[in-house]
Amino acid sequence: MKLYLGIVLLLLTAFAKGDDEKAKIILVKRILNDIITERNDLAIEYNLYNIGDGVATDVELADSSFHESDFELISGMTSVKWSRINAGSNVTHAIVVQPLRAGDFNFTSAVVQYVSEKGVDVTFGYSNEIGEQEILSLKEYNRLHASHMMEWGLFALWCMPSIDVPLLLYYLSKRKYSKKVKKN
Amino acid sequence: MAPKSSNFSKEEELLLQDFGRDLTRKSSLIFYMHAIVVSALPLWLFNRIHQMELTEHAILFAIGTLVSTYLVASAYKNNKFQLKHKVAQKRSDGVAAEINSQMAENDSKKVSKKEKDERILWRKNEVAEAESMQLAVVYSNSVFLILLILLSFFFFKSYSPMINYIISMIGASGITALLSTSSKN
Repeated sequence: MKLYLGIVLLLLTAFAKGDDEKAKIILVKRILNDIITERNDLAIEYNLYNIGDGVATDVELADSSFHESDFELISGMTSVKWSRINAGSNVTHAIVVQPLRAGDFNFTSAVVQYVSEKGVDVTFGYSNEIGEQEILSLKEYNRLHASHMMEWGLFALWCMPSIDVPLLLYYLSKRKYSKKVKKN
Repeated sequence: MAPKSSNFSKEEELLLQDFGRDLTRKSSLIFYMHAIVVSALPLWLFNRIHQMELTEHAILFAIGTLVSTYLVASAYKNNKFQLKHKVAQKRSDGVAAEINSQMAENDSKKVSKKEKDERILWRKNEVAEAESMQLAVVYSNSVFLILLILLSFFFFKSYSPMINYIISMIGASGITALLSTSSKN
């Protein structure tokens, strides 16, 4: 096992010593929810792709768009570090937040900083900007998307006397006079 | 059109009752009671599904219910008028059989043919009146409720709740009343 690892490291070093081996990180930010609702979990996914030839080191992702006044952080961290991202590989990070207020919200870019090459200054990159999204209030969400099975069931129950009682009376009368005809 | 006169025979009065659109006070009351119940039922849906508070929209709901009550009651009246003749024709034999059996039981009394025919006509009118009223209520209520659900939860689902209520209630009751005015010969 140690011999195998040694050979792999040697090969990597040999390749790494090539010219123009710089890392280049692409950061993609995605909202995983179809509908964003006040006081409901909102999942955000960050994908970092190293499309360069070199290893990216001291990679740091930060997203400061989720202020405490607007969002509550439920799971994950808005600031994450990776020691290295190899060339041609990618990493994913996800957080879960809850919007505290309904209304339109502008989801801005996240920032990534990394060292693309040894001895070079830190490189900064920005993710895509998701833009303005509507955060529905709980009331509006329930109005549009809840199933309301109980409400429909009760409504059907209360409609029944208005329709069934006159129908029953009609059929009783109809049966009475049909029987009289048959009897005669 | 013949001027109103109180010199109609009993038979003519019965015929007028039979063919006339006018409702008795009792029939009107029954119709308006049914209409107000069926117009108030959607308030539950708008309160629980569209999240419209009853107290906040009390005036709108009151006006909507009253307008709908009037239109649905008109639909009842028109439908009842159209159905009454069909029902009377179908019950003719049954009513005649009922009157004949009643008269056969009271054998001692000799009843003239004219009186027997009058009784049959009166009874036929009574039965047709009751059955046509019941059928009119069933038909109009069904049409109103189906239209209301289609308008409110399919066609105008994305509109604001207040606009949704106005369009659905007026639309459903208006179309129900309009459909009742179509004559099928």
